[in-house]
Amino acid sequence: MIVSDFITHFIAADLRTATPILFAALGELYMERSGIINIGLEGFMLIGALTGSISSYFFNSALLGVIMAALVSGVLGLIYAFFVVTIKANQVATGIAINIFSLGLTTTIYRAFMGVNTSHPNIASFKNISIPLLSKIPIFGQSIFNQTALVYLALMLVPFTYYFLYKTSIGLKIRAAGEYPQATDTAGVNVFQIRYGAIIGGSMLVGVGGAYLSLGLLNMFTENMVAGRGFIALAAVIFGKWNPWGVLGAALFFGFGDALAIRLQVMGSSIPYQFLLMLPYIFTVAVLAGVVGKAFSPTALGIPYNKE
Amino acid sequence: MKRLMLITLIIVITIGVFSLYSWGADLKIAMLLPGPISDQGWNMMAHNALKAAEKEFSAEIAYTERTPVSDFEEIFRGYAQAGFNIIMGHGFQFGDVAKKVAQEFPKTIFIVSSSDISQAPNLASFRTMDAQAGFIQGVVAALLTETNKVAYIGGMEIPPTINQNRGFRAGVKYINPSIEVISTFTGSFYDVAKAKEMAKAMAQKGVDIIVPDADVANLGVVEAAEEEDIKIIGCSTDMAEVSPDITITSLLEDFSKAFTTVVDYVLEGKFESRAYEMGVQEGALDLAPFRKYEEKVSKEDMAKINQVLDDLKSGKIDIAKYLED
Repeated sequence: MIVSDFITHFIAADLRTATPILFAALGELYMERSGIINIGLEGFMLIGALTGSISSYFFNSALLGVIMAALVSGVLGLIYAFFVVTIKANQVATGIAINIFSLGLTTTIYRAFMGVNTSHPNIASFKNISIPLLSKIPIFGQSIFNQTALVYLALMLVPFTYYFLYKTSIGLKIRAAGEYPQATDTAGVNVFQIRYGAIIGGSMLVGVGGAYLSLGLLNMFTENMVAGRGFIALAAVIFGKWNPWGVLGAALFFGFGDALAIRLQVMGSSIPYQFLLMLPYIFTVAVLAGVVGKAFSPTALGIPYNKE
Repeated sequence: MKRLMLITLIIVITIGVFSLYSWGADLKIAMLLPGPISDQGWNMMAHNALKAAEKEFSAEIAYTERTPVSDFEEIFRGYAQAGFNIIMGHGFQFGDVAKKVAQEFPKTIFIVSSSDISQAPNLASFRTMDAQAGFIQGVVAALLTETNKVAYIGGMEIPPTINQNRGFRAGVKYINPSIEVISTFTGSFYDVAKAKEMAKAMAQKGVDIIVPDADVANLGVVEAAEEEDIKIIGCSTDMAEVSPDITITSLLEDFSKAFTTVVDYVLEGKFESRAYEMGVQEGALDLAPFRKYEEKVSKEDMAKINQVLDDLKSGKIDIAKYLED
């Protein structure tokens, strides 16, 4: 095998693997910045994956599938927001409840819609789009600029998120709500409203991440198909130090680890693949412990806001 | 009110007990299943086997679904007291309790599936020979590969997948030791995306035949195979029903056959309290029809495949000799 081919395939695999994590992690970033820690990413992604798959099947359009996935995840986000913002339920417990609930719900709904048979139905999915000129660049052209539309969307969301959070007044309000909600409230900003908005918007992104799994990376829904990516996305937010660019780096790094683990196995390497699977988590712990520079989580993260 | 409830309870119990008893059938078989019979997998397989036994031996049958671990013992005992001759716990997790209850009812036969335990005189276990299954798949793959690179993708690294993989490697080497065999595990029976990435990476390395052994995640390998130039040899069920264009054949596991074979032993008085291993000889394992690939396989290769199956049946090939370490 030619080395440049190997690198091309490797980068392409890295991007494909990183995309669902990136979507979910960016969604989580909005929520965490507003002071909400949503452990239920895995569940939101499953709901997104199922909605995307079923909608695409019935409307025969992958684009509508993704839009529906975003909408349904947004509604779930609204319910979640009602619990953690209005009722002030424990955020971690509510998130775990959503994970468990979603696993059962998606399985049941999928069986009800598609029946329990061995063949998987033909569902409209995203095809690779080759960007003119850019895709001709050696090595990187075919790997980065020949992906599905959702991969480009995920990459474009990174600068957008950065701009939104750091350069707009809504972004400032979101960050303020996550740092000093009391002060924010005093300044005349409705913290409840901001948090509701961040949760609903963030949830929609997480749902799209799930839909990418069932419509971009694969072309089907299977039970529990998210397989832990929601939790990796949680780690990516921490590893990326609550910054969109950092989150991008973390998602790519985790995708890199996955792609490398797969290739090392295929090449018959003697390095145990479990060791490589473990690496992302070790780095996350290292970041939390302050080994790789200091990481500051939003001060009010996980604390429900009580209006005095 | 209390008395009414008591009377109702007595009636229900009486009906329950009497319905368990039957004066018609000589053979009464009961099963304890860990999950629902509608799961399209493990538990449905056992339910089908039970129905097959009902038909074949005109036996009376009963089963308990979703058996809670805490009730294993009482349900085993209940069936034994109700006069069932053969009681099976579906899965190795029933082993310890079966051992305990079996001592109390020496005339009842206790069976545990997917396990290797036994206890004289009345407790046996059975399982299919994963290594043999892999061996046959290895033989087919080695005969049909054009790139001389074949691969195995397992889900979690647990005894059934480890054994299947070892058998697969042995089967390939048995035909042609120069063929490169790549063995991998995704670490999950659910991660479809990862299985697909794994298969894609293999295609880039020049692998042309893959044996996917990762349960639901097999569908990921199927998708990769449809996109790249890969064929698959299925495990357990006929994968040609999922994707006929890329499925060469599948190695079918017939749980019903394995189970009725054990029941047969009991009826013929050949039953021994040991760990039965079922393979092609008992009909518990078999190759599915080649369907679309029927014509693409040369006569010599087909003859060789059938020869290997016959040799495995007659015991002429001892797989253990070919297994690595």
